[in-house]
Amino acid sequence: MEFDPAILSRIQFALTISFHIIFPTLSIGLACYIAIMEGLWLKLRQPIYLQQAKFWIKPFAITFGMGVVSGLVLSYQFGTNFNKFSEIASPVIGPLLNYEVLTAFFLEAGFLGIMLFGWNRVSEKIHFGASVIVAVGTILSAFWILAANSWMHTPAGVIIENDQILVTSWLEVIFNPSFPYRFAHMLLASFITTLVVIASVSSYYLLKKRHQQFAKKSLGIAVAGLVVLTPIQAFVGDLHGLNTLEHQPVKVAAMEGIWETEQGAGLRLFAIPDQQQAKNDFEIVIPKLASLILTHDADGTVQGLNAVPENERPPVAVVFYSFRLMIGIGIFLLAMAYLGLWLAKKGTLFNNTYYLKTLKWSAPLGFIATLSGWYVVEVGRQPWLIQGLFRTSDLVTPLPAERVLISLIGFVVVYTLLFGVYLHFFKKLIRQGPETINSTTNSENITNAVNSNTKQVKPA
Amino acid sequence: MDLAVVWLLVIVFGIFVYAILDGFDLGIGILYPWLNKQERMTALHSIKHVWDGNETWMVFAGVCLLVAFPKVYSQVLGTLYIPVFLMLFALIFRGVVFEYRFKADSSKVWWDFSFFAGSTIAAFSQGTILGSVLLGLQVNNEQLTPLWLHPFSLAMGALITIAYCSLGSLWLQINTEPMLEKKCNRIANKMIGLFSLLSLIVVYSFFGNFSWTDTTFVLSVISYKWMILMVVGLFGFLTIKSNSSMQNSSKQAFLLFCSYLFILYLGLLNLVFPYIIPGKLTIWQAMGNENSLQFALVGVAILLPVVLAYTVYSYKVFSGKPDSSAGAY
Repeated sequence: MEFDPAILSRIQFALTISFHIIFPTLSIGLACYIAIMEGLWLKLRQPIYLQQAKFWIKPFAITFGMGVVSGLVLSYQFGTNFNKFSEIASPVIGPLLNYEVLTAFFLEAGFLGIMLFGWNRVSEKIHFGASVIVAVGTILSAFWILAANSWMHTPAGVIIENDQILVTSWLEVIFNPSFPYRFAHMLLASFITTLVVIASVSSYYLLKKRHQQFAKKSLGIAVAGLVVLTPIQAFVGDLHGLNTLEHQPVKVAAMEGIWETEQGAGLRLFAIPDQQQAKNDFEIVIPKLASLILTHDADGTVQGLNAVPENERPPVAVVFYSFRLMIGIGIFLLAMAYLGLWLAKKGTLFNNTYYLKTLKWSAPLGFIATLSGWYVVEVGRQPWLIQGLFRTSDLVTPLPAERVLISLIGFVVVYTLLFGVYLHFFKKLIRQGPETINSTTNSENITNAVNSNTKQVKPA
Repeated sequence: MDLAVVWLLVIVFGIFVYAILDGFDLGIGILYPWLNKQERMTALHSIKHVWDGNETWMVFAGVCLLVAFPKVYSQVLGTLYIPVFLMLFALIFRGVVFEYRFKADSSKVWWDFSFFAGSTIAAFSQGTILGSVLLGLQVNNEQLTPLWLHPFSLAMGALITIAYCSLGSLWLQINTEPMLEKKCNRIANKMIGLFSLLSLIVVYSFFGNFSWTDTTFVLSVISYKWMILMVVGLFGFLTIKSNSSMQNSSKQAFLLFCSYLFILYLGLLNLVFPYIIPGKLTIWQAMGNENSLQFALVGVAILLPVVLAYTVYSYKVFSGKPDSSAGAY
């Protein structure tokens, strides 16, 4: 069987980035949650907040660790598998990644040690400072990496001379047209995903009748957070869609499964896109809705895939289905949030078994939605690596296929193994549950109570 | 000063800091088979809070290379595909150990093995990568198979592994209790001796065979080969002597060995300069776009001192003998 090294390199990149993105999605959200809980504890001195912070730090640590090791691979893969990309795009991508390392990676790494192991070595305030810095670091990291990624979708601030990219304005490069939407969308995705995980774990405790005080608090916070964030996410997602329509109309056509340019385009609820024949089979269409959503006008014109030559169209089916999956999960989570709000008002949030069971099983949904969104965006950009400027197929390293195949198999094996291990330890930490913290108003006693779990502290 | 030179210095600095910092924590992994159960826990505790920051220096050096010398970045990584991935896989396996080993019950044996194998393979691959670059990324046929299995590259692999091992034992000597301290002291002496011996062999048998060795050496008055041999011998002797007499603090031995490595490293750079891939690309030929280099340099100039400051702070917070109380946080 003949393998195409270019395809293999793309599969490998897709695999490694998909695996990686799971962890930052959760660690950004958890870092913020932990910092907020620690802050609330310092302010209110209610032990339950410290308990929240101390408990979630453990899953955070293993998640962060996985993010570090899988991210390390990515930073070198530009060079190994897309070495022409790294050469051509280095004037833009290089400095952005450089700033990411300097403002985010070092920051996280420098203060993570204090956050994880420094409870007995630094004051409460400095510890809180370290937690805040780690959270800020994770957000800054997302800032730079999304600036670089967005630039590949909507390149700005550069001119091309003899196939060389020259930067004319760094501000335009960083704040390129799609960046603000992508950044906001990703951060919200990460917060929502994390809140769903927290809600799921809390529901599990409530169903098992364990750590009930703890679980009630975190479920309350999670549902409240989701009530606020899910509608905002829908709004930001819509804005992002409009921005994509403006800059990458072909991607939107693939998302909607629209082949012919249409006036008053209908929304395809379901379809089986046929790339060869350039049409859909088994369509279920709601008339005019796509135009209404995309152009905010029922008779607005939506460009179809056929408006561009065949070799400039992305693989439609992947984009089309991923988009529906993301939207579906989004709607489901929004509904769950408001259902939770309604139950809370009725006073039955903590004992509605059906609701809690559904939440318990919802833990992976945020990740699946984030990954699908990622596929919509990245697959939808194909065949371009840098939209409109450079094609993916022109920028891959000319490697022998078997060499890429070996590393690809290596990744599949290693990542499957690691993911299993990660889930095993994640479950283990959840099953162990939070440490008990005496409910007393004296803060010194609280600290002692907390410390006694790790270190013997003589009573004052 | 010329931008290419400034960036070369930034990268040279980044790689050296990486080699020292991740050197000692990789070294502890390589030493693992010599440690018993209790000692392994102590060793792991002495680095659990710093390994992540240490490894970040490698990402830093890599990204600086991408900014400043994109041609080198793409050629080195594209050509040395196999050892680079070997190193990355190895770093994955040993990196996750820090998170899982403390929480493991039945799987401890596997994590210990993973930590040892991962650290050793990572160190060895780094050495072979360095060796292949020094060979000028030679390719032996149209298959684009680089000479990373050349005797010189393999010798460099061994050399780096032993250097890390020495750093690891010296670090552990500073950061542990008396019992283990003596043991580490013995290991450190052996390793530094071995390192010096192997350096002598490598310099003697390979140097002079490369196109770059006699073209650019600044101090060509004295034969570079004999000079390096002298430096290696002298420093090896001094470090072991300092380390052996227990009156001197272990910190001093650690610093002395670092300066030993630094001098060797500078000597090597001096031989290669102005090439960045010897015999193939000079720093000026490989240099990236000027505007981008300047933009990134502003960040480096402002942020690197800050990074160094808080790195020192976070080392200080955990200075002294480690508390090997409960596994984690």
